[in-house]
Amino acid sequence: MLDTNVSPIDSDALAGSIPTSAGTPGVVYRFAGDAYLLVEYGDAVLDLGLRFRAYLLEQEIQRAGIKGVAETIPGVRSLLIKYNPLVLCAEKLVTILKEIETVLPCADDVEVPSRLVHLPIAFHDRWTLDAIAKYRRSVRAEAPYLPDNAEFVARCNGLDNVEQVFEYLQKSQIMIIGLGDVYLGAPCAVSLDPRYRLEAPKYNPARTYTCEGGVGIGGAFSCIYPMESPGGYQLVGRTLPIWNTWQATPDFKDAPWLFKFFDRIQFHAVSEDELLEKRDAMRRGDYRLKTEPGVFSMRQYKAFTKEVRAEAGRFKARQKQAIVQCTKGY
Amino acid sequence: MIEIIRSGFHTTIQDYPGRIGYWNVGIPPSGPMDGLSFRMANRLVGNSDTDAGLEMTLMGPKIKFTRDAMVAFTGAEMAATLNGRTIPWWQSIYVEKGSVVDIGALSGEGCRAYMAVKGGFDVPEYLGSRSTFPKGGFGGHTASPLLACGTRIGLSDDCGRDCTARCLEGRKIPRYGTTWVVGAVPGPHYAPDFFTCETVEMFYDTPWRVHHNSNRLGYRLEGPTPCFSRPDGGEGGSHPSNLIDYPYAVGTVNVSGNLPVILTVDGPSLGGFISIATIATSDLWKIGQAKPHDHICFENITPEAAVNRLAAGERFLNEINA
Repeated sequence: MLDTNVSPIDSDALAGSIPTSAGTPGVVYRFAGDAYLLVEYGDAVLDLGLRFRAYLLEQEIQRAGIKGVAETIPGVRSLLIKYNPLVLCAEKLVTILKEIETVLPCADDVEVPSRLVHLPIAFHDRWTLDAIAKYRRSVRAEAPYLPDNAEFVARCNGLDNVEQVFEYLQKSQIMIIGLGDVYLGAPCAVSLDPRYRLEAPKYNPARTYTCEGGVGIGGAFSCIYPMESPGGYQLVGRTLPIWNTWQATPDFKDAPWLFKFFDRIQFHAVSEDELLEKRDAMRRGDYRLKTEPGVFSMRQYKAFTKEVRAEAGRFKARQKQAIVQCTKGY
Repeated sequence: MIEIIRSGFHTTIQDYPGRIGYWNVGIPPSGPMDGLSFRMANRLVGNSDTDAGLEMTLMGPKIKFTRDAMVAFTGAEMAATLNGRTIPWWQSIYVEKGSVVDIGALSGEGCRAYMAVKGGFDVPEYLGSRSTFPKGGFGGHTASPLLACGTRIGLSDDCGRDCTARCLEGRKIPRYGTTWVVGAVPGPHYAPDFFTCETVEMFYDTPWRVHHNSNRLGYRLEGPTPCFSRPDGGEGGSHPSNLIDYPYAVGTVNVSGNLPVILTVDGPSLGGFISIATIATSDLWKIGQAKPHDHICFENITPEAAVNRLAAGERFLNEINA
């Protein structure tokens, strides 16, 4: 991990900062207008430890019940705080947040409730292939990721074929670190096992249509589309509906969205027909989502990533090389 | 009850401040694009700010009233008649049972008009709000998020009882034009670390033209190309406008690729593009009144100045109740 220990570059957007110190990431406070403050942790890298730091801050803000704080919204390595500036001024908020930093536990000690959610997925299904075909007809006919997104993902990651892409997607649990990317509880999720963390650049320009339930890869993130919508992720398959407006079935009893932060998705491949059956049954309330309660320990996770570091490094190197080749002509 | 006889261009039920508390899972607040005019309309009929009203865009609907009601129109003026007589804006008017209100095209500057009815519209709340989010298919009149011909909307029981006419003094009516000067606080991602200093100067000096494909999700802006001070987005992506996904503020000016887009009330909560500046809360209503091909000029203001403006705006609104 990069440990730069350099203070952030001063700009009019900067509301404050805390330098990196032993074991704790640096913090940058940025103005996002007069009613939001963006708190960013550490270097601009994908690191679960930073996500957990934002989680700890969010927990502490909620516990402290700071007058004037309205909402907190987590990102991958950040937390957006919406506040009422007529009640709480930015300067005071930053002072309070800096004080909180001094009492936050180490992210390594974090243990969060984390369900394991089993999801059926039909790879290379007719619905996502149809979405790609629509894009070819109406937006862009030729692109490195056309006509087959999964094949592009294979190339971007130095894999031999699409079967390997599908295999990789089932080999690692995928942790949900953001919700609403984009809209209605859509998960922003990342493969926990770095040996199988597929990456692919997003569409350029975006699709105007994606089927509901479509599963895509964009950057190092995976996503499920909660509704028919535009989108930019490379589509590889389709799964169950993850949004239910009227909360009509037991899986949506608590909320119209399916997932909670830090849920882990485990995909398993099914045929198109099986998926259709399960989707219909879920809609009727006859199919219950398979979930297992669990706890995620950052310390254990770090130990695991250390164990697989060499193998993950080889994959990452191959991937890096492959992506350069694949993005020519983007 | 009212019945929609003709739908208009994009007519929805909204309330203020909208669906609050679900931004962390990607459910946008929705609510009126011009919260100032919306709240004025409610206050003119003695409502609270939170009562649901109509938002009309570019071209209004034709509505039949099946009972007496006090109503008020605010926002961008549209050619509108009540049983054939011209309807004045910015004051409460009494509509008798059986009347037809016909709201036509814009007759002046601005983009959106509002109609408040005493007591508000009687539609169910969804996640704590009556605001319509058409993309999600919920809120407002659930069967028809975009109010279509034939839709019937219930009115509250006391819709016609208070006949005290209220009228907004001329000096209190917001001034419209085709160029909107909008206060915007630098950041969250600014210069010199993300954009060049020349680009942020250019950003505040440019009259940005509103792209025709602008709506409640976002306003695209046409103008010069921004220059970044970094070669790429690092782990966020290959383009320098990419960042590792982070939460957006409503009213932020997002730069996606080379295109600035103002994220508005139905916009996304999370994404991987840089945001150069964020519009002052007090000035967000102006975006709701900017129509395609109007121009937007951003005024560089500090967060403190923006808060002062917000406080002044609230004091001004509270005078209307007096």
